[in-house]
Amino acid sequence: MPDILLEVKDLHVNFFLTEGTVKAVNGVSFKIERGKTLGIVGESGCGKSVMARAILNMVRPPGRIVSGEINYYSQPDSPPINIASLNRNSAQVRRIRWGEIAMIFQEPMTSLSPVHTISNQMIEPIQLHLNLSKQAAKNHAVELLARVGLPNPEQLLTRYRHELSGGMRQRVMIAMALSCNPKLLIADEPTTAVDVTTQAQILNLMRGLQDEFGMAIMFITHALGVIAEIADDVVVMYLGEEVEVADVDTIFHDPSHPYTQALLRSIPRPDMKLKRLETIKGNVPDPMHLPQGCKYHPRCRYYIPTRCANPPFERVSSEHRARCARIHDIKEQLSEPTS
Amino acid sequence: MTNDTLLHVNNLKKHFPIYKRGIFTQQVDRYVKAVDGVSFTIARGEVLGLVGESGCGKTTTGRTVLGAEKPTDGEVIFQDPQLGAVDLAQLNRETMRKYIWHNIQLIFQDPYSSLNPRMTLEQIIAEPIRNYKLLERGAIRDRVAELLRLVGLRPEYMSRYPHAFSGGQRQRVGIARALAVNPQLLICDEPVSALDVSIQAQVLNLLQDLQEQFQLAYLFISHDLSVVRHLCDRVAVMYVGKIVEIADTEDLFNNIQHPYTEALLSSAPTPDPRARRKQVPLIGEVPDPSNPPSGCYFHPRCLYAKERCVVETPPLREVQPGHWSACHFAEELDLG
Repeated sequence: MPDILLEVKDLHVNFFLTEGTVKAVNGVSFKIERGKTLGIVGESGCGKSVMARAILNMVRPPGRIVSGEINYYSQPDSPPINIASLNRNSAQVRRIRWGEIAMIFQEPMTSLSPVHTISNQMIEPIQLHLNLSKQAAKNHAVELLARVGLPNPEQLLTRYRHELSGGMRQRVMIAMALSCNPKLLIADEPTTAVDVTTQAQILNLMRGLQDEFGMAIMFITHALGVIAEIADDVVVMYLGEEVEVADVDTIFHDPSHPYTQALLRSIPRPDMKLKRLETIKGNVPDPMHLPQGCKYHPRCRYYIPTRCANPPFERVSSEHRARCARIHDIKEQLSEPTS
Repeated sequence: MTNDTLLHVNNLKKHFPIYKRGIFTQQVDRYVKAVDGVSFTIARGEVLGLVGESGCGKTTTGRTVLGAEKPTDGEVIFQDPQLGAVDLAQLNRETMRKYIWHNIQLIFQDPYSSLNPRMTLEQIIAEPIRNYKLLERGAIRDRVAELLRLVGLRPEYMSRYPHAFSGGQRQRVGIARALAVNPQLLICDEPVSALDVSIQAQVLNLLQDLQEQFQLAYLFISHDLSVVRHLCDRVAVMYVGKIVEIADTEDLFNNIQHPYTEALLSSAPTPDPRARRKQVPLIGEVPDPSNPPSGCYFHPRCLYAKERCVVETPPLREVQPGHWSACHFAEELDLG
């Protein structure tokens, strides 16, 4: 029996705009195991960031969690807390947010305050959440900054964000996120705004910290290469729905959903020298006017009008599911030798 | 310079002054050496990739080649069909505008800010044609329609404004505008970085098709190594304003001759969980280009640095036929 830390069940998040309702997250379910890394991958507009915010109950109006459960198991045998059912400003949510579940964002430039020193931003939350004296909180902050590989942490505390490089800012964010020893770290595109060399440093750092602190990570990205490097399990999202859920090896070597397959074939890969990349036709549709039936059907090469009206979330194996009515025929087609 | 060479950049430098301001005076304090002695050639119909981390000077190189920045020093010799071989570094903007810029065009990274929101697609694409008086008034519309079809857009779209289009479609419009004047060289500055994964492939395929169809030469600037490997014939790796390695693409990826290239390639994630390996990430940060380290600029981060690297700047030299590296120990090191 896997040790579940967080279980999301049939989560719906809608944005109520004057032009209409946008179903940003539309019935997503998944589980995160304690100490494991779940990768969430999808293109822009698939709802992955909104979902991350929903888990912390941070969706602001006009957005709202409409239905679904977010069950958080603080201890292996404790009863779950349904984060979705709590008031988003309640003391209980605020304790979980940052204290038990921490989050780092894509753009470290905007998530640090421009008018406060690093020390001002770091020490106060540590004092509040861990109930430490100012001096003890400062020592803790110095320790954390050193742990994420920043040189001269004491001096760094007196700096402002504009004095730091992108990689340093992201490390500061990680140190802040770790300050209360979270059980789950949600990382929303943490390496998108940095260079590949810095990205490799940050991924290495996150892996090392995970080994050390045993936290679970929910890693959100659009980069398949990063998912392959860091995730244990993967959720592929498209237009607010999860289209495929499996372990990382299955996603990359035996994907069942046409969208996952197409995504993997559309990136240039050093291990397969292709003359041309395969493309997914068309564009991601406008979220106001979602396609009927299978959301992916206008772009799908296997679409059959009669069969794809209402695709079930089919179980391929015990831990592998895909939202496609034709997974079995597609498997057969693919296994036939192509002429 | 052989007949086939379209562009020959020789020891190109672009230094930006940093001023120390007094109340009445301003003095140059020091220089940001954004591009510091870069040399390369691009043959007709060749795709040269330029890779490196942010701040290494790849965009400034592209802009200086184009003449958008006046080079501090060096030559940019372009084989112009009308003028013959000319050094663009010596030309003034007037001459550049008159003779050169319809042969060298630029594709930008951000398709949202590079198109004027108040112009229709027809106006956007026709503007360079009108400026160069390439066609009669009546023929322009047909040419715009042809260009739109060429980049995979419907000609009916020509009366619409850019806001009606997605990022990938806008990037196609930018490509159509660049092609409108029949250029020979396209400088593509991160043309797919702002696009979604599934759209990237469409634009890359389009660039590849156009290159083959019109025998275009590209200077393809990117930080994405897998994209560069897919598209380019040759690749140049830049670090703090200098080229550290340049070679044919497969040769560069399989037969690395510079420690920085090794570090850069090993940092790039592989889209295969079975290929996960313990990386040796690069320590430290890119140096400040206004105050670079002594000797080899890479030595503070290099795993193989020796004393010589601290004092002596390595020149870019041909270590194997067609394979250039700026490392003192290129022959001795066995790089992955």
